Amino acid sequence: MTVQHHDKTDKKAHKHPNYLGVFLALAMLTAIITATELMAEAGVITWPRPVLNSAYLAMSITKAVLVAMFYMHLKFDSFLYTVLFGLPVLFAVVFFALLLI
Amino acid sequence: MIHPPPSLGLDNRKFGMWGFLASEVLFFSVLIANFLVLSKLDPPGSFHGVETGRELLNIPLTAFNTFVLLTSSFTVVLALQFIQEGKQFLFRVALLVTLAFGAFFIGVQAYEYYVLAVVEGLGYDTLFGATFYTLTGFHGFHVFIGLCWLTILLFKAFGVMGGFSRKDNMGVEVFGLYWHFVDIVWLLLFSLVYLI
Repeated sequence: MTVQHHDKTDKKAHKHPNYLGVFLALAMLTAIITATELMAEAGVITWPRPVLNSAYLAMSITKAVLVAMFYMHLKFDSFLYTVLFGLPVLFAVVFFALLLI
Repeated sequence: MIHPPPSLGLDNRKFGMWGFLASEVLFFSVLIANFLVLSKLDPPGSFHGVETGRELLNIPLTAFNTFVLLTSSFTVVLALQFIQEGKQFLFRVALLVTLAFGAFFIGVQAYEYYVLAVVEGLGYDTLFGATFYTLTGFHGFHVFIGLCWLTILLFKAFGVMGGFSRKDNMGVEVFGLYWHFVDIVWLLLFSLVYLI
């Protein structure tokens, strides 16, 4: 029995992105975050804690965006998926911002 | 079987998974907020030999585990690429490697819990311990559910209950969405729980 799909956006053939390149970028960012924190704990790096935390957060968000865009194909799929997933993310950002106030 | 075309022109299973993941964003947001607010409120002297619970955490081990989960995400997306290109053997190998990496991740997390709870004495009786175990435990539970799902996919990939093909691989793609989301959550948790 063959199941026939009807996903107009999925039928748009897109070339597979460079998954290895994305993986290497993710691994490199993880390595940078870990090495920075270990050096900070050892006293090699003496940057203020807020600077370090902001850097960690920025790199983590970059990694999350890379996974969502390329591994989850949000960059290539219907924009409706981005809206569906992006709205609660936006809500969460507002939620965290309110927590900080 | 011919399904009627969905009104949005999108595959219902994929749309349903994105909707589910949207609800998961809110679920984990609340748990993360819970951890961020409560984990630093323990009175001094709550932990054995250290000032904060965070100092008990093993960052190199967790960084290694993060790398393991990242690699499993890479192998899932490779599995999808392989089946879309009709490379059945490589597809099955990629899924098996994903299962191995996912199981390894859970194993390392279990070891981490053992060290924290038994050796370091970090229990549920502190705010840090309670929120840490709740947050990372729910993430681990999601990985476990993913492994169960992946096992079923593997049965299908090896010909039990049908199989996947170049044209029929939405099951793999939908699983991939779930697995990548679990990966995204862990990437954020690694910074928010272990480093910040």
